[in-house]
Amino acid sequence: MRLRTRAEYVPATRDTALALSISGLEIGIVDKVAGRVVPVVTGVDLALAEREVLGLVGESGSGKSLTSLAITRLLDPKSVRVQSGSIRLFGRELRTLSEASMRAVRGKDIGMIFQDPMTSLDPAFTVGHQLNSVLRRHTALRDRAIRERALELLALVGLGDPRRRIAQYPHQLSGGARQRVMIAMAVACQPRVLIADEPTTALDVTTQAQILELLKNLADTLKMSTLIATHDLGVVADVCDRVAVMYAGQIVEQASAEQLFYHPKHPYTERLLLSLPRVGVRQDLQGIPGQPPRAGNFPPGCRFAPRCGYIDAPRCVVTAPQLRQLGDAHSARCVRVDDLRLSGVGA
Amino acid sequence: MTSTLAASVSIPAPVDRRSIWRAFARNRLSLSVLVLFVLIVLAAVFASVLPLHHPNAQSLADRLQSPSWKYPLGTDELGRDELARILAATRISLWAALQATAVGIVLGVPIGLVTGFVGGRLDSVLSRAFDTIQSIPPLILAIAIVAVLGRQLTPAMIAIGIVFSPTFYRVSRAAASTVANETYIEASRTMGQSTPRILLTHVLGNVAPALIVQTSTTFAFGILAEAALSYLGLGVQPPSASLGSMLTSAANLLNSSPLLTIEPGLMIVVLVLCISLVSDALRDLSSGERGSEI
Amino acid sequence: MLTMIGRRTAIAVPLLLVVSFAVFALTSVSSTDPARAILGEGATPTSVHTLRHQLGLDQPLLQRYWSWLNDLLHGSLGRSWYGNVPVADKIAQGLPVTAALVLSALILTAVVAMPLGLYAGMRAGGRLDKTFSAITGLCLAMPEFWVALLLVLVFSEKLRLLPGTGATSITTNVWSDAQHLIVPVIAISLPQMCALYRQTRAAAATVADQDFIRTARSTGISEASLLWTHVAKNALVPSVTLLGLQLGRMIGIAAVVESVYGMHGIGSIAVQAALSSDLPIVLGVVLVTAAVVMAANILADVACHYLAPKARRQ
Repeated sequence: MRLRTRAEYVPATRDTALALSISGLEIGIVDKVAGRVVPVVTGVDLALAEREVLGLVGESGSGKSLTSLAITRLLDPKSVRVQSGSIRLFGRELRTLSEASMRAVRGKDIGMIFQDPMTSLDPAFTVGHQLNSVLRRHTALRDRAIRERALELLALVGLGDPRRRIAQYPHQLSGGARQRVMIAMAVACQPRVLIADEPTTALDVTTQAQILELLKNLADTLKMSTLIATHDLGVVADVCDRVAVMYAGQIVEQASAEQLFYHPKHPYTERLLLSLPRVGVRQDLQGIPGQPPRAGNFPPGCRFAPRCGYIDAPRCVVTAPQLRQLGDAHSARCVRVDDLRLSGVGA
Repeated sequence: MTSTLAASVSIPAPVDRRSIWRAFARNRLSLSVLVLFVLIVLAAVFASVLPLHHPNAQSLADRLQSPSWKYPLGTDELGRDELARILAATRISLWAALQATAVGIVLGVPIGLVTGFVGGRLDSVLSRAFDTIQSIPPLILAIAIVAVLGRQLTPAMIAIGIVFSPTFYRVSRAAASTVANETYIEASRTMGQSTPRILLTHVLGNVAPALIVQTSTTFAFGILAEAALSYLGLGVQPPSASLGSMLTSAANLLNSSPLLTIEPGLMIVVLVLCISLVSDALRDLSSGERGSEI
Repeated sequence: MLTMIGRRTAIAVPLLLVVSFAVFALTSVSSTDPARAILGEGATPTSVHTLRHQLGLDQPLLQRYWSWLNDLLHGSLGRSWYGNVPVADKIAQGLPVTAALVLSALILTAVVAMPLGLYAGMRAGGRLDKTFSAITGLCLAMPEFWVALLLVLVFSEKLRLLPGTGATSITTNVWSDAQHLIVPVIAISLPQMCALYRQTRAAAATVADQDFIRTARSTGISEASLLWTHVAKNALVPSVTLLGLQLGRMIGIAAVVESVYGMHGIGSIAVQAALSSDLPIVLGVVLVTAAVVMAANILADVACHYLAPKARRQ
């Protein structure tokens, strides 16, 4: 596994502005039958520094998508509720904003890209129309200026022949092209933060690589801070400066990409890295036995304990472990972090 | 989308008292509606043995009376008991709707099954034929067929049945063609030939739920259609009376005796509502059976 | 676009021919002998025979159809059996009334049901939704002519607000026409409104759950804009299709409502003709209405194409 360190990346110091600062985020799912809200994301603290690319890694059901959608308040209150926590955009609290103010933030200060490009664009409007509507809403551009800008954007995201594309409907574009259009819409107003929820999962491998390359370039060119939620460690290795690993609704480890891959501190991270197929090595695929705990059924102690190979009852099972700072901007949620020597890739 | 996200983080569904209550409550509504409907049908069918006045017994001294103990729904312009008349008319309306639905099924289902299964040329020709039927406004077509076949109840119901047939055709055709595709796949996988009998049971099994729902929906429309035709004088002929034809004479006395207009119409509304609710329940049930596939 | 219209029209023409032939053939199996019916009970066989010859009823079916078709191409729909009136004239007389009724009902239905349905679909669930569900269900169960009668009862007889039955044709006095038309139009459109509302609501609810709605939200669009642009354009496709179908139904329903009000539209003309077995008129009405329905369906398809151009139909 080759980590690609970005030339532009400067590790954050205490003085670096925080593009996104999430603390104590609690999200719950509405259970209509039982008439209560089941906690699904608990006590999440995330920090996205300025100009950083942060990866939020977790399997499906870990809560990473819910977390990223919660930032822009796109969760449907009828089924999902943000119970508590603070979400700050460059110091500005987003949770208490009026809906009108929030709408001004969406698309302008924060851009979002979603997972499935095939269903994420409106089939009834042309590419140009959908781009125009974003530009019209957040800028003062009109008429010819808007058209020029739209064409610029399409070229920026690497769509060949923008003049033809701009008049086409989504169903006339391939999956990769549609994803580029979505990216164009997300960065149209030069947002300071870009949130990508599984941006490459629905794409084929070659297109994946292209899109990731595009995202990296855009992050540098447009000077954006980027949060990428994904389950794919390959994506993380390719693009991210820092990584946060989520399991069963909690952050279990945070570190720079390099630290995470070579010196993981949480057993779950170790298992994740182990499960990566290695080039040149013939071995069976190593899955993780068992299933993550379902929402509402979280065990009282460590949530990974039932599947952990290093379990040391009663320490691991009785009390819930806290996220411990380990120096060098590395933290892990494990009581055994001091005695365990975990192996990373290339070990 | 967020709902699918929420679903991916699945909550274990507790089977507690409240969820059972919910399921039962919804079915309870349909159940009571079904009971009401059955009661009405029984009353209509067995009206002759009930302690009521004879529907055709005139009593000119008691003309146009308001509801009383003697005449619970009042009397009409010839002194006949409205309650008895309405029950007798209900029986005729129900029987008529049944005929129309039966004609629709007989015309549409067999052809639809064959076409859906075989496909090809037959499909395009026959589908066009049924499209043609559907391109004529339904009531106009019924009026035209009645003009040709004669002004009686049965020809009128045949007319309405013809109007209904394209829907039955389409439902059976869709079900049959789904099976046809599956069976070809199956046949290409296994070496053996499926016997016609197996095909038949497959097809019928696929068609049955959709057909049952469609039949109940069509039955409701049948009641409305027969009422319209009879109101116009093109359906049931005197001395018989259906709910629609009762409204023809009642319309003349609209201002003086509005109850004569309100009562038969209300009965139509009640019948159609009951059947529609039962039809909805049947649809929920049939899609619930296939719920695991969705 | 034009090719699509051309193709659909090209398909419609032979369909109309089939319709015309089918109905024409049906008239010859009718049990009523028109000549006998026209001349009455005491007709002598000779006079019946002569009249049959005059009406051309002794010719073979195909020949009669051919001459009828010929007449049609010259703009004639034949002559009625009673009164020997050109069918086309009678239909032309009744067309304005029916057109006024049906078009008004169609517009009313669309204008009321579509916006309400879209709005309700976005906010599915809740008590208001369930109440509307119940109300629409109730209205769908009511026969239109009964509603028409009740409306006459309330508005004309009891409240004396509007003129009652007896209006016959469209005059140039728009206000007076409106007063005569409003009640039958409401009666015709009420169940259709409910059906269209339900359909639109269901479609809107499905669309509101789609991924591209979330994408639009993430760009900061307001809920209102979202509803009237993205949701509307997508959800209205099945609704417009339904509206096209409803036009056909309304023509038939108008026939009944016209009878309630004594209006001489083509529907009631057809009914009168059916009551007296005057088949040429019935045949003429069937053809004209079938042509209108086919045209309406083509229009609906064109509208759908503008709403949501997709390579493949959903």
